[in-house]
Amino acid sequence: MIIATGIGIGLLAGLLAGMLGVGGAVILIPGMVLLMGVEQHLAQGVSLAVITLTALVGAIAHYRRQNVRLRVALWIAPAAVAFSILGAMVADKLDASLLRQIVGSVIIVAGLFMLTRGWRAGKRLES
Amino acid sequence: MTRQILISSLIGAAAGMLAGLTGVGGGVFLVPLLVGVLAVTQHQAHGTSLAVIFPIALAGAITYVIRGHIDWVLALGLALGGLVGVVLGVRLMTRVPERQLRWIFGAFSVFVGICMIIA
Repeated sequence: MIIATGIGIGLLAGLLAGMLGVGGAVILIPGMVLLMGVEQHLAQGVSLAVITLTALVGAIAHYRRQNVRLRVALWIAPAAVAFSILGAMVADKLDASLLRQIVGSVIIVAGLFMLTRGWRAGKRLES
Repeated sequence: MTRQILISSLIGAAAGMLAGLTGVGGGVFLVPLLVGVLAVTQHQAHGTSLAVIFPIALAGAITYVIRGHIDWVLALGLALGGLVGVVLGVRLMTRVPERQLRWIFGAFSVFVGICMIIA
């Protein structure tokens, strides 16, 4: 049962990620926490493990089509990795309810971002 | 050049902190930053964003695993569904109007976020 619910939530997250190119975790974390009753820290760890796999598969597919600016990725990666570890260590020290509220806020901001089509604004800059 | 690396590092620091703290990949924010600030084309922004999210998520995941915040069976189930979903989603992408989908997903995210806060 837990596996079936997990696969279902994963399927929905993957569908949206495939169609919009965003948002695995926006579905994954609330799906686990609100629908499956998974503890907040655990949900975040699982989310990162799943994203590691999906991002790798996606990145390889894009790389084959020459859609990865490797140099830019290499510039961003060192600080990103260091702060990801730091962020995870901070999260470990925080209360589950506080973390859930932080994640909720991030998801709301991401949703508003989608609604105002901030993404499109970037597209206009390009042309 | 130096300035670009500095800006890239700042973006990386913010993206990494967000991912490590919350477990969210952050593609929603990374893609527009890559396009708007680092002049990556929209086309390449998706791929580059994923290439950045991979090491971020890996480093964060390892830290969570070390602290014992992991359930491999659950992760496997979600990943299985997720990989099938991505393949289906990419195929469906051309058949579903993107703007409406974005709008619906945006509204849904705001609702889910509120649920997370008041739960």
